[in-house]
Amino acid sequence: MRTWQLAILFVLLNASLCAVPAERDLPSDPKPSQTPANDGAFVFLRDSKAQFELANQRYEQLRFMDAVLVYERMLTNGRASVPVLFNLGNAQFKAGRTGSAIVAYRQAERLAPRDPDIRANLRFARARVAGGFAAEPPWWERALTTLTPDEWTALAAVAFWLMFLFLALGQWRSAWRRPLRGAVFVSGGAFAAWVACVASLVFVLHQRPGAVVTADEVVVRYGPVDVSNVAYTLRDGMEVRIIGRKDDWLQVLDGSQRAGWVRRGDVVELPATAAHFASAVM
Amino acid sequence: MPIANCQSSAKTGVACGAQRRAFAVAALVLSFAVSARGQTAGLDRSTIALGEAAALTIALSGNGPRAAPQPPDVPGLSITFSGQARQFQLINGRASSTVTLTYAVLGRQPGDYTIPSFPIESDGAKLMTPPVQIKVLPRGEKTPASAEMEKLAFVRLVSARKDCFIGEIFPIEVQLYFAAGRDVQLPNLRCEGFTVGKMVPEQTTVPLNGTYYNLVRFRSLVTPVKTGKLQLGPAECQLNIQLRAQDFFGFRLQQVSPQSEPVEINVLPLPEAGKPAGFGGAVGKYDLAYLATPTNVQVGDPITVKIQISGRGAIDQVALPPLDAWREFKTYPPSVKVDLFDPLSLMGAKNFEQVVMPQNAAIRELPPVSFSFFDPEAKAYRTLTQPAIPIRVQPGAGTQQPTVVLPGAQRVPGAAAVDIVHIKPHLGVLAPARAPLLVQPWFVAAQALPVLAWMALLVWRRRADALANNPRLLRQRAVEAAIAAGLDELRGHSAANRGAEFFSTTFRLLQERLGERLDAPAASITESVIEERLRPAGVADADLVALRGLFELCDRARFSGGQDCASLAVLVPKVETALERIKLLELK
Repeated sequence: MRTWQLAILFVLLNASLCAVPAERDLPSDPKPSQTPANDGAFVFLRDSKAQFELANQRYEQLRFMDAVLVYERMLTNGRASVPVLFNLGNAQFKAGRTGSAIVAYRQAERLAPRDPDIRANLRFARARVAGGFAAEPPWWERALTTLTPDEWTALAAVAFWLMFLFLALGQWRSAWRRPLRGAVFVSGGAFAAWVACVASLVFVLHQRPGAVVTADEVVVRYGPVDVSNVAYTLRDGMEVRIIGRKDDWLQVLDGSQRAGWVRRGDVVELPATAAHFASAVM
Repeated sequence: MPIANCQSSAKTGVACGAQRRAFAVAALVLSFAVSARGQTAGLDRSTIALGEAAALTIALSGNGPRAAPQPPDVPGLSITFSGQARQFQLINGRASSTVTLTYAVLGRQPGDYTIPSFPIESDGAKLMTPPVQIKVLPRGEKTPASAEMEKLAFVRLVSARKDCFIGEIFPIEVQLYFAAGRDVQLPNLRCEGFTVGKMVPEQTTVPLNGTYYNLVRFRSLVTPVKTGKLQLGPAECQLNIQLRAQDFFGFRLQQVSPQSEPVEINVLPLPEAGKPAGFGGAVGKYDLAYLATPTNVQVGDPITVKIQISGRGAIDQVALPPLDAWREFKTYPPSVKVDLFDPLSLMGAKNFEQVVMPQNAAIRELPPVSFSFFDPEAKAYRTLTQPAIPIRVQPGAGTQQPTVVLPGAQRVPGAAAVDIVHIKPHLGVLAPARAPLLVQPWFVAAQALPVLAWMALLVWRRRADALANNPRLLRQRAVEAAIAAGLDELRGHSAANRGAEFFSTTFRLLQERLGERLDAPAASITESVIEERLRPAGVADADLVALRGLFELCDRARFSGGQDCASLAVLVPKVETALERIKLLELK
């Protein structure tokens, strides 16, 4: 590969990564608006910060359920942040609600997939689930979830723009058309690859949704009726994959690839929006 | 007369193949025929234990019976037909055949029995088998065959401990002795109440009771997981032993599974008295080392703490000492590396590498580290303590904790963390959940911009290329532009009363327009084209007259002087009209 082609690849990667900052790159302490016209937002942010500190204080005092309540209150209006979800997971875990903790960690992981703290705690919580080691996802799924869907989308968009920029330059100056051909192919290939990544990630997240058991013990039945025989039982924190739905029942697949039906209320479905999450884990 | 010692124990049963037995019997028949008509009958063993089976083989010359005859019932024995084999021979052009019938004789009651002769029909003749004697011993009593087999292969189970504590790891050895054999399998050890490590085999030759035996030692480690008198073993090994020459090939292999005697081990519980608070269940004899670098840091800087626990015991199951005193530090899951010093994993060292970050500048030391274990030799608990490590923590510049990448030591899955990572102190951006970029209209619309830009440039390029490939059209456009500019010049010259320039420009414009219409160079256009080209082309006389008038005016001005300002102003519309008229002409 020629030097200029490498340079284009480098620019592609850097531009895309700069375009979409990861969660941890975002300002950690947002300044409230100084204008009186935005008092509502100002008060909200100030209150959120106070609530967060209160919840952290409860956590440090080992009053984990109190901390859980405050963290969850912060999530009820549809807003979410990685630290709130992470700390909520910690509080849930310390309170003995491993399933709810895993739900919170997975929500946080969805927002900041490369955060080492979240990954460590999620791994730790999963290890604590009795008999419930979630099967390690395949390498391609792990690679896909390294970036958020928005980050993959931004990468694809940058490659798309660059491809058409090179095409347009070739139209503008006919003499540039041949030298730019390689750049068009590289950016076009990158665009195709990243679109495939976006599509795969969307498939993984939405077409193959998961769920986490949040009750102490959940009976899995052969059929979606209460009188159906018991296939096996799931315990708090076990993660399953949803493969079907019927009325108020979900057909799930556990780590041993055993299928069965559970009541929708016994598990928390993922992905869940922040509001759904807040109501689901209460 | 027994034909061959085919079995060693009830476990092996009638494992020898019917074909092999038939061949052996046939060889005997050839060598030691006992009947003039060529039939013989025999057992592979004359003595069996209750529940064991012997093989009764009947060899016949000729084609044999059409159906296998059923021997008479013998109370205390169960005789069942198990197979038939046929052998053809061609010696000096003379063909002969032998049929061998095989029956399994199972002892059901101890005692001495005789299987009476019974008739067999072969080649139309009725033959009588000779009677056969068999002895059935009570269950468990050693038969001559099994005793003989025990001399060829036996197993011993040796334990290093008869009394031990729960969780104490100790070595055992399964010793397999055999005179000649092969295909030795790993031993199968009954170990209820114990966990057993991997078996490490080692083979030597040893003299025993005047005979040289092959000795395979399978060494392993066991750990009792419950208390009480537990039975370890028996250990059973499977191999093929080599038996000497009673058949055609001089030796044969027989699969046997000798068993050892079990070993009784008394497993004691760990004493409750004196159990340290931080005791995590480690049993053995250990050392503790503690190291930290760097020791001069800022708040939030990572410090790598190395804790090594080494010694004798279940080293890979030793857990990191509790870090309860580390609340002022942010900790990450430790990486763990196990180094084993012997093949059985009895001696080794477990290295924990933990990254900690001091959270305030008031911290002066890393807390002391303690590790408690139970020493089974001293029968007492021991607590090893390494003192605190002084550190210097300076106030940090930033408030956000840096992300720490764990060092590259190999992480042992499942054995890493002792607790979750502590909560995050900063709120971050508390933002409402928004729809993904992919479904946001502004984002989708923005993707149309580069496409539109490219399409615009594409159209522009196509038009430019089309123009470049049509020189007439190109000239037409150039002439249009030149005439538009020339007319402006004309008006300027008229206003400034510059007669010479006015007519020079008029002449040039006429040349440009006529040259373009006639597809001729502009410089070649003179008044003569009126008669030579325009009139033959059918141009109206009025147009020709007007053109001629303009050409004459231009010539007159060039050769004899200018016009006044008023007449120039009058000429401008005439020039414009003439140029428009020429433009409309269809000339070739």
